Amino acid sequence: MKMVVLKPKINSKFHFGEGSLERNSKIFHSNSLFSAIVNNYIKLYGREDLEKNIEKIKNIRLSSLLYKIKNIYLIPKPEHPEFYKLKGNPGIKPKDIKKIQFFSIKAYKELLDNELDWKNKIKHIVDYQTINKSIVISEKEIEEIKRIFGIKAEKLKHAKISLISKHLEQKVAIDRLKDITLEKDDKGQLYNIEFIKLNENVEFYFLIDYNNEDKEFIKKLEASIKLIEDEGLGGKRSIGAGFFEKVEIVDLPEDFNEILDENSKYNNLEYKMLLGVGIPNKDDIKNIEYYKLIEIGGYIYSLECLTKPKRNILALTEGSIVKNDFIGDVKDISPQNDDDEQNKNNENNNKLNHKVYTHGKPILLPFNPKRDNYGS
Amino acid sequence: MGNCNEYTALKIGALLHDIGKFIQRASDKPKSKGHDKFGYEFLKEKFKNGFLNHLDEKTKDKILEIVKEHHNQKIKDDLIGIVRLADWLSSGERREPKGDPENVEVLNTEEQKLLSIFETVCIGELTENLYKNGFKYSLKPLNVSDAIFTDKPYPNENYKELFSKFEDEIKDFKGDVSFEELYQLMQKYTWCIPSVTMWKKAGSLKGGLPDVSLFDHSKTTCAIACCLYQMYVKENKKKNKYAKEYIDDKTLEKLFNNDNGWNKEIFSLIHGDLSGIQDFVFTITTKYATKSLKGRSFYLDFLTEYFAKYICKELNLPITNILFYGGGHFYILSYKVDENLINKLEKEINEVLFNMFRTKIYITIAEVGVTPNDFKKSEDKESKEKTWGFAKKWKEVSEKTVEKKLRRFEYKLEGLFEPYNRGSENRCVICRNEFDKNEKGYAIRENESKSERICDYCASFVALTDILKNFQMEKTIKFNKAYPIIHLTKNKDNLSLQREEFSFLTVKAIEKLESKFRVLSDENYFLKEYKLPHDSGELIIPYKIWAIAFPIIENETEKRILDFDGLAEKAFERTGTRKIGILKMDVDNLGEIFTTGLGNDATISRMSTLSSMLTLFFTGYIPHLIKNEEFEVNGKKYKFKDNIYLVYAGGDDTLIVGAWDAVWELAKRIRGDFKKFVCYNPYITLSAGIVFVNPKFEFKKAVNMAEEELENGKNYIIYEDEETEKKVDKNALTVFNCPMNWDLEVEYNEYCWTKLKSYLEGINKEMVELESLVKKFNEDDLEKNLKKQLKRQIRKESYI
Repeated sequence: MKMVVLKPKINSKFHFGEGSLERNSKIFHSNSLFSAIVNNYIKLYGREDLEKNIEKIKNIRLSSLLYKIKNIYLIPKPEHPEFYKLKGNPGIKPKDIKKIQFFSIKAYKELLDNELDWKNKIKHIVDYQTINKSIVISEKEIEEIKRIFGIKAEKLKHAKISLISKHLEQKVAIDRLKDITLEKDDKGQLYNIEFIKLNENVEFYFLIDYNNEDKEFIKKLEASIKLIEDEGLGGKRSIGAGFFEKVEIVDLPEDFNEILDENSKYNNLEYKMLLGVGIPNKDDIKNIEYYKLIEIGGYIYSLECLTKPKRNILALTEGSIVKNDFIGDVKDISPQNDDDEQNKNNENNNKLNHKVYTHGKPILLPFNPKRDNYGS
Repeated sequence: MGNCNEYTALKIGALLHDIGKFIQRASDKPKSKGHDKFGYEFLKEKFKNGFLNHLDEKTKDKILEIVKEHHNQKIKDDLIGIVRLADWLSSGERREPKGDPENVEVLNTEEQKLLSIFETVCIGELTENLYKNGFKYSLKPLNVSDAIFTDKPYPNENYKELFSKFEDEIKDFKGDVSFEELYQLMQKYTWCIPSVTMWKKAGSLKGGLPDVSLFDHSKTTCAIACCLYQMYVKENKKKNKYAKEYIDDKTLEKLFNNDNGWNKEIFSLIHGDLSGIQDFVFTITTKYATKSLKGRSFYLDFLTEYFAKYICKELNLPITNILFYGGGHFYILSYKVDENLINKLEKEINEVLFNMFRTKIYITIAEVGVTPNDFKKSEDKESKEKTWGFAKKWKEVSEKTVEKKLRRFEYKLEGLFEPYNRGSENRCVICRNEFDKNEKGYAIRENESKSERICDYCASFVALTDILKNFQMEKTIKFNKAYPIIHLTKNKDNLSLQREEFSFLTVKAIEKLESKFRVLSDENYFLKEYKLPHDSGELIIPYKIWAIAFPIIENETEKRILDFDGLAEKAFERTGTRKIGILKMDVDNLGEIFTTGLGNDATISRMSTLSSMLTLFFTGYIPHLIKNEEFEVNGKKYKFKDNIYLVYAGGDDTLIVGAWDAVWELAKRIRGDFKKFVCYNPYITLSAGIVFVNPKFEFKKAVNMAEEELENGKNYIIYEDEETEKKVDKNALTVFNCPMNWDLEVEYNEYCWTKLKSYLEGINKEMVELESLVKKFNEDDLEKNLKKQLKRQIRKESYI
């Protein structure tokens, strides 16, 4: 398993999410990441090579694109009831823990080891170890955060740190042939796109498990990942979005390695947490424990035809809790060609000649829900 | 029992069991006999005059017997025993009077008025002077105007006047009167009457603090009695297949004797939580927002009511058992039911929702057991628990719902994760969903020459919006009345001027519900017609309080709802700025108010009262305010109703769109009135977020921005002491990312400061000194001074 670190270019901005340009998600989901990697693979090696290796590519496991602050790696909060309600803790409200969205991997490891006493010291955690009310870090990381961002307050809850800022930009759609502006959905000549920008100390990362021993295939896959430096993610070059200064493939940091190593003491835990979206196969259904659902869809990016909508599919979100032997699946969501309008489009040489896959085999992180008598 | 309809007699008898208190207090000779006798004789006479004459004689006789004998300690069985026990459990609400009898002034019973529930929230230990100084409600029929607000320790109205109105109205209660109308009669006239009063006896204070209304006591008595009845077994005949526990005459006697059984969970508290609201309502294109937005918002609010009533229908419980519904939540008191039944009901409902909207809307239903002891005030004042009594159950069931939400559609995960839709580009122009293969949809016309295709469900919400507009204009709800929807036609190919007609019942999103659940057609839960509140705020039985307020513009051919461009244009005419404002407001710390605010006096009646009163402000008063009040700009007055589109108001929050300057003024007006409504309780506050945007701006994004402003206000801290954890926070208006504390920065209110001072003293004594500064420097005055300066400047320029 490897980690891919993506350093944004200075002033680069990103737009994640599908559908409306005006809505932005904080997370670039693993299925979209998979699509980007596959598209890069095709650019480098051609569709025939892809078809030859398609089963290998479908077998890789991915996390979603997540955030890191220097050496502090953030993962999604577990979607477990424990993190949504309180047990009579004074001075704290359910909303306070509901707002939490991320844990640092070090804090998560402490959670697994019962060193982070979520039940009894939640107020201390919220006051001293939580950034912007939404990110829980380890006590060992507090001084690092204060140093990086120049925080003088004793409690992190009093510090406002701009890690990810939102920017709404107005754009003009132009018909370059007629040299006039166009109206978009009757919104006048202007439309809005919401971008995110990262603090200079914040970068992206994702985890990838090649799940294969073929060195030649791995090499091609890594080249496809490196191509993100040129192709970008989460934006369009024409509007100056989605650029990266550097994309590096590195070994797992120590905290991840301790948890994910095949000899890890955590391998005996019965449950796992998803780090990317999960599409359960039929055998996985019985392994789903706690979850939220996300609807995947959007539009196909293909060199062969004009933009076309995909079919939709539901998936488990990052942070969902499953049992140990959850595998996931890769589904074909290419559009059906069974209605008249589609047939008409086919006649206009807009036929799609390949499958469109959506990836739902996430990296899994061990999870221990039984510390406080939760779970089945 | 002959032909007597036992259950009907029980419901009505329980609901009216204490009506004699009203009669007694309006009487010239209140001490001549007990309230039970007063009630009995009153009803007997009214029955002779035709009251409820759709009932047979035996049923009416049973009602009379219940009313007459409900305090007879010798009767511990059958219907009267059930009502007596229910009355007792419901009375667990009563607070003992405080103070030395020699020093406490005790008024005559008829002079003791109902203390507002808001006077007792978050104040800690009750004080001797609480009742004397606290604000009490006037004896007026329930109303949605500010006539029901109170800032009076000694309201002047008397029982005779209220009773006279009551008697006039009861004359119309002949023929086939529904239980709901009877329920509303009680609500309208006894909402402001205390259930219990104080008196002196043998040198001690007796009775209870008059802070629970006769209506709430009667309602909860009826609710509990109906649960007991459904569990009641006589001669081994069980009435209800769903009841998990049973009681018989022996059980009743043991409970009356304070024997065992008080810790047995024989009741259930059921909580329903509708989720997905945000995405469902706001994920629409801005272009047709005003045409369908209210329909979507209303639909979700309606679903909350509808499903609460469906569950009651299934359990054979009346509407009294719905303790509260609003804001996507409902709470129902039931006899003990099995969790499997709850899951079955949840599944049934979600299947219908899924078939219409897939995963966009989901209802979670949970249940916790309730013991008879849970209806009592907590006696353990040393307990470390912050939540007591019935509030504890309220919290427990809410937490259980949270957990269940993390297992949505658990019953149908097989098959849920397969691709769906066809990947077609044929999509609804409003929601962007694909059309079903054989779905023709509707054409929505922007004008006479241009139309676009929308799906059946979006057509539902467009039609609903227009139907609600008609309800507003007619002040009447008629579920089966068809209305032409001018801008909808059946399919795209037909561009004729023929208007498509819809009634409330034929809108597809409603029709699909009714075909499965049949609640609207059951007069136990929905009548065929309702009156919306009158302009004066008067409620005309049968009434429905729905939060409807549209800006309607009339021309020669139609009355239509003003769109965002039109609203912005109105602002432009007044201010030169063509913007709309979006206002999001909600009550601060609502969870704490409910779970800990009433302390160990958190009983079922008080919980129900507190939630219903808050809902009344949002669902009843805010629409009334919009439709009837004015604001001033540059010395001229304008009507809110011409400038405001009420998207949502209910539960504890509201979302409003309008001309930006009207929204700004409305926010301040709502907040000021809310403060008065809650008797200036400094612990009950309201935060607001406002954004001003171009009318063509993406609507969902704008709503999100308003929510972010609101959240900034929620995080706003004026003062905090780390060691004592005391702080002054929230209670903020936020605009342009700048939160301002309502009381300390936005507006000065003398009445508010009367109570605010003691509140601030408890936090930091020095903060009380802020009053003089606030009086001089607050946003409201600064704004007015700016206007004066501008006028002065204009005069100077004219002179020059």
